[in-house]
Amino acid sequence: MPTSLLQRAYRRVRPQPAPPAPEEKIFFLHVPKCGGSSVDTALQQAYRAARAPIAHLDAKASVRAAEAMGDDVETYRERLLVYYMAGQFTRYISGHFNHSPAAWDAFGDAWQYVSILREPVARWISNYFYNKYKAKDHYRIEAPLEEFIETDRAVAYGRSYVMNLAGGIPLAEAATDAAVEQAIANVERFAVVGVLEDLDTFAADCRARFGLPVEIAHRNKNPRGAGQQREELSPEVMARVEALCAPNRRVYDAVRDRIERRGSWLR
Amino acid sequence: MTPATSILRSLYRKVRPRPARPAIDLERLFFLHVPKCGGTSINTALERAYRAAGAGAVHLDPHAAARAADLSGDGLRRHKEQVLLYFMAGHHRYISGHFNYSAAAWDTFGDAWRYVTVLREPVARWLSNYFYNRYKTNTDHYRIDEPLEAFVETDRARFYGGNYVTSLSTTRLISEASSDEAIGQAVANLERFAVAGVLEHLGTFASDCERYFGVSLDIGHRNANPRTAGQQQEEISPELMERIRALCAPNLQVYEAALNRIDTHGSWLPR
Repeated sequence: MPTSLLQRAYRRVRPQPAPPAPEEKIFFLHVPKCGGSSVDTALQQAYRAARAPIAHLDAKASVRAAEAMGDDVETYRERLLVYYMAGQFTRYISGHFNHSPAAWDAFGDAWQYVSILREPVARWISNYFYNKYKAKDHYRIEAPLEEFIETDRAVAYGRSYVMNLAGGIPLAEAATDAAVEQAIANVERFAVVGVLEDLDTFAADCRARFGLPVEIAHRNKNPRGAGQQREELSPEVMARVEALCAPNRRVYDAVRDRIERRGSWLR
Repeated sequence: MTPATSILRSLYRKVRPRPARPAIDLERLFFLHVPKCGGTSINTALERAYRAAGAGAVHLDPHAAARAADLSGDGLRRHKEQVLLYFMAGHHRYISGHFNYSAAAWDTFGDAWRYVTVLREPVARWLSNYFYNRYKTNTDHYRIDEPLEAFVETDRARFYGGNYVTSLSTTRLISEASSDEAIGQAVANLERFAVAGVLEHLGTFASDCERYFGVSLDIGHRNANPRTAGQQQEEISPELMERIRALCAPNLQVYEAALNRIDTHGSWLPR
């Protein structure tokens, strides 16, 4: 019947109402190599489905632009973060930003901060192998592991949580008690923080706190499997990596303790 | 044909997949939007054409830029330059907004991006800018509270007469915008734009864009002034008009350079 044909055709082409946008504005502070790409994708999907505007930091573009202007890249990213947070329409921001005290003071009430950490030695190793064997040139590592552990970058990999979360502190200061405590104090105020080792709790916390259906797949896979990675590590190298990761471990343990104590990040 | 078939056919025409022009073929277009030159309608038309081809478009949020500049203490001009370079370094194919000319952007990305702008007869633009900000009701952003007689004595009145120079050159201060050097730089920079138009010859601008970028433009009228031209003119004495013309001297030189090129060739593009 023509009417039913028409009805069927209309059903196919009629505009579908978007689901309601999540009420909260989320800033996902993506600490590298903590499973953040999968989490970011899952959170972005919830906002995209509601056609809510999102802003994702293009890390390479920010490096190139900062170089062209002669600016420090971390400061440059902080400027972009503040710009996006000040936007009238943006509902979701993600990327490799540092915690910014200026952004927190101005927008900490309006934006809900979310992050995810990972057991620091596993993260350090993952970061090394990812950058050693990846196909892209962006931040690629050329040195073998025994040489790499003597570099500043190896030190930075073990202090990255402090540097990311304490807000723009230099590498040399990132192992001090003051810096570690600042990082912990900052992350304590985040709406939801998870650890990669317990993604179920993180997903449940996101559902409980934001009402978001977060389904996390695994992306940004390391080009070397975990087994292959471990084969290259002697006990001496492992001990050295453990020592390098001491600052990150304090931050991670603080987060992990809170989650384990309560069975959730949420109060 | 039965009515049902005809309805079905017209429905199909609406929803059938069209061979979109691949976004990758489109030149990267940076629309430097000088305020109150008809740019809102033009931006809408250009952005629509790019989006229709599936090309990523991004627009400066002026309120966010102003707030972020306040917080960083960097100044608005520098902040907008940071945002522009970040946009240009990314995957977008269309950028628009109230940006200024940036030497760093041109030096780094001038080969990759095609610059486009539209200017307007400067006295008309000055008046439009004043009345728009004096009587707008939608926002307090940059609102003017002074009557015209008081406003013409302000730095902002000078800025309204020299903003083509500050927008199109690296001259930051309005006090320097009337120098030959600053005006010369603005004109030289403008000359390198892929397409520049004037609001008074919008048809030429649209056909230049169509020829250069291969996109067809449907330019409507947006961002209309809350006071009509007639209402505007009533408030202006001959003395005030003279004063406004004098304020607009820097902009007039830039505008006339653009207009001369368009008048000489019948187009911005070389024949």
